[in-house]
Amino acid sequence: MQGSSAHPKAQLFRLLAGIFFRELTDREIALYREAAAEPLLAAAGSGRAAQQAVADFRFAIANWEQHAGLKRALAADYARLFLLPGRSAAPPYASAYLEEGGQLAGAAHDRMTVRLTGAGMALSDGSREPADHLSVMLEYLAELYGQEAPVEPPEAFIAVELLPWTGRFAAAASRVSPHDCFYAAAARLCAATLEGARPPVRPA
Amino acid sequence: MTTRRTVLKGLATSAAAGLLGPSILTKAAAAATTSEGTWHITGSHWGAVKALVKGGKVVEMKPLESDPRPTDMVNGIKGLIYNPSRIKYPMARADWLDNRDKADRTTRGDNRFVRITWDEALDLFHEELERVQTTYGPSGLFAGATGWRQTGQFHSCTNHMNRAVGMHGNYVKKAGDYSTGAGQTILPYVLGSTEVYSQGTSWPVILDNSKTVVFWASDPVKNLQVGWNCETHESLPYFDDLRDKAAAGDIRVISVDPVRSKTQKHTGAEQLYLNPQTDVPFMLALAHTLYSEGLHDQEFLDIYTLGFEPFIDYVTGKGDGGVEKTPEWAAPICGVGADRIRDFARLLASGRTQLVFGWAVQRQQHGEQPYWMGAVLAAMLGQIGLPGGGISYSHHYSGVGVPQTGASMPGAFPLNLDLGKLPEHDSDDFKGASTVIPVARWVDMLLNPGGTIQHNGHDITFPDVKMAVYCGCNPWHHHQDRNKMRRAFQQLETVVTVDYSWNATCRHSDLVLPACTQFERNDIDMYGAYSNTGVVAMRKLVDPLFASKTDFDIFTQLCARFGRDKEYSRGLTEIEWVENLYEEARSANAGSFDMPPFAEFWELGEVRFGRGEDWVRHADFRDDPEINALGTPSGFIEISSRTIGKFGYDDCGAHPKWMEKLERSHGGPGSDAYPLWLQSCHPDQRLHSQMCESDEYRATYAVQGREPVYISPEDAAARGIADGDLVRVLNSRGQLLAGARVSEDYPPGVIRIHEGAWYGPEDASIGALDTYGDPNTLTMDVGSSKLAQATSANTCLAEVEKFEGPVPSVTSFGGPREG
Repeated sequence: MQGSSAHPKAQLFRLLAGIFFRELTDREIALYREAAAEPLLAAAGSGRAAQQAVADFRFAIANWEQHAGLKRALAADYARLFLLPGRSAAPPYASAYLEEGGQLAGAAHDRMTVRLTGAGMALSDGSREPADHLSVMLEYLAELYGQEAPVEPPEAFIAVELLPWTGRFAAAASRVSPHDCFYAAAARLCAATLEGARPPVRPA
Repeated sequence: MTTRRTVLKGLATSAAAGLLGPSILTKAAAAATTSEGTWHITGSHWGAVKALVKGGKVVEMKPLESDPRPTDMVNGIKGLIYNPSRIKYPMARADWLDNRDKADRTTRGDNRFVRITWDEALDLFHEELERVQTTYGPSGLFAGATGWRQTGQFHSCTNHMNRAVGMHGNYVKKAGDYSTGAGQTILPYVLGSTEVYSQGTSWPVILDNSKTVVFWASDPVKNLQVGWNCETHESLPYFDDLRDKAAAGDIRVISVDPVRSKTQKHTGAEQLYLNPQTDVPFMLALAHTLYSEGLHDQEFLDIYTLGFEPFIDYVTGKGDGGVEKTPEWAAPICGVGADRIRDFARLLASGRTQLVFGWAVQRQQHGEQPYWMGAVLAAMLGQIGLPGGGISYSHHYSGVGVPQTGASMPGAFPLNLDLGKLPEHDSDDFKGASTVIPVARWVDMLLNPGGTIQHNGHDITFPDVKMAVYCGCNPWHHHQDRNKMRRAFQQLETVVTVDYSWNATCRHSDLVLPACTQFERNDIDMYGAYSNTGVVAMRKLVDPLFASKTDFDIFTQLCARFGRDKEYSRGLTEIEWVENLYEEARSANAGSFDMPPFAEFWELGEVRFGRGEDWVRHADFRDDPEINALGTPSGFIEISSRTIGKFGYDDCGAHPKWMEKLERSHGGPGSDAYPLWLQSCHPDQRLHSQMCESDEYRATYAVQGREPVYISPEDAAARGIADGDLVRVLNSRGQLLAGARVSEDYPPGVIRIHEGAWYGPEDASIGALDTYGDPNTLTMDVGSSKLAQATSANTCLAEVEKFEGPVPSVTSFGGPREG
């Protein structure tokens, strides 16, 4: 997708989408160590929560231990939070928080499927992740930010589809203490950035 | 001032671009999404269903309109497909991935996993098979455990695992199963076949001819909700007829059971209570009454049976230390008054009596004995082979008793290698160990390599197993004594599990491969496991979720690792296999039963063959016992068995006997410490452990999110327990949390927790509290006897107390946790 690269928030949401979609590669770990994400973090916003989340994110990376098993440790954290079920998990699906019993592919999935199909979008590389995967929704959001005339205001999409659950997602990711707190920090960064993009309340 | 353009320009040249990578979204053809969806027919253990598929998702499921008595469990199926516990990707236990056979095994069940690709996973699977075959030989590999699988003749996962693993090398296999292990071993000696998996006398025949129907520890109205194949539920309306005939006084229906069963309540049957595990003393006293009052059929015994004399000597006290098995002898053991025993014996002999046994009664220590004794009683009544008389061990199972059409049914994917083919590793050097073990003894096998047991006339030497493979099988549901199992699993270097949901077996594995559910693949199934009512198309409803694959794909690709994938699949695709299985059945039925061509059938969704013919079990034997001899050593009903007698077992002799149990309630051994008998029969709202994870449906029966433990008002009151309380159930083997359901259906001294409740310990320690209520946390892992070595799950005592203190969350439905 091309349009999404033109907006600072789009870049940050794409960065976060990648974090939640797949485990970090050696190259990505090295880039994070080199502070390569810094240019993107400014888009998190200037609010106190966003700034704290950015600081936590930086701290998490700085706190990475220098050992050969880091990639494996991060992959195990990723699996625990995002791939495995259970009380130690922070499933990255809207339905997990919005449906009874955390059932997959609920109404949020259906709405995202309609959006993607209508927009002529599909998951690349044949992934069969549900459409309400946070990464899919963040990529879609990035697309909205990148469009001159988006099919829906990105702030409205955030308010309707993401804010109802991303706070709980971040809380779930932070509730447990993985080997490294990178993913918990990323989840809080995501939630805080989305919160900062909430549409302003108009006076009555 | 930073603008979009400067950010973009900056990123293009910065390292940040390397963190973004390509989008996970791509362009696709825009499409309308206004479809109302499509209804498809498919089959399941819970019956044929119609599924509404819309937008690539199953949005609704309902029973087929023609299902005469659909089960409520259909409401749980959607919760299986979209369950948060689904295994999404191939996963490997991190420590095992790094260290393989040197990994720390003490952390099994509580460890870190990482995602791996399918190629990596199948390479690892193959490498481990290679390592074990070349290092230890075939005795190092156990792939024998099998379970209820998902339905579908082609994708039957047991067959796929056995064929693929068997194509690579030989391995340790199992004999018997958990459901009927004692029964299926003893009955071939007595009646010539397992009986437990045999068609029974047709229900219309029973309804027209029986004067008394006795359900002996049998609850068909509960258990007939599910079937081995696609269940038709045609048998359930017969219980309405039975209820009506009982109400009209045409048939007397009696339930011999400590618990008021669903069947008893549905049919309005009388209950004959007896103390748990005391069926045999009760039956011996019945035999004594029949004999002493001359109510037995001596002519039948003379013509059709062998070995009555040693048995009746035992009953009348001429053997066994001179103890006469009178009703007065039995009464204090079984809790039934002597006069009531005599009356019941007279009732049985007063007219045509159909005895209908369930399976739970043989899942106890000496579980062979009540089954053997049932056959002896039926023989003494002399009605075996008569319409509405004799004995059945299967009328609660998979529609047995529904008249069979006689139509040929579709075959299955082959379980074995093709004729003349050998495994890659064709060594049959098991290092002096046995190649087949009784299935319920696999934990003993792991804990005692080289140890020996006796089994059904043979000596079994346990192999030194290093690797286990499970596919569609959850031994952490059906085996006994979880804490013993935890120790046993630590003996294994490698455990590979193929399944669709993170059950306890997956959590205790090293390599977990995601299979898709049956609703994500094309298949075909028998409609009616015994009635042969028809054939049902199982059209794939949705694509496999996440990275899951069909069992066929998984094992084909495993076989590709050693160059035999074409041989494995015979070069056919999934749909070609399905079509071939159908067309073979169509060809076999030509001229007898009309079947449309496959394409037409696939569109219709089913084909039916009409009503079958009424039939009477053992009628042919009764007509001519020489031409239609039974499969026993003598060809006759063996009331005493010389064969078994020659084995010389102290816990299963030459004729049925009463033997005290290691644990028995109501004054029996161990009841002073743990006074309550724990019954763990098949559930009412699951199929064994299948569907336990279906959250929304589980919520319809769970108590405070835990499995119910049913308890009598007297026992509850004595312990200060109210309905809905959280309770701890415990004994010397383990402890669990459950939710109390106080019910008049249960007598004092009896509690029930349905088997199949998923295991979820509070932590990884041996003896940890099970947080959901798996009864096998408490059950005893001993063989029924040296004959069958079957499960003794229903020989189990426990105590219940109101749970106090912080309530742990349920861990049963989550994945592995970090150690």
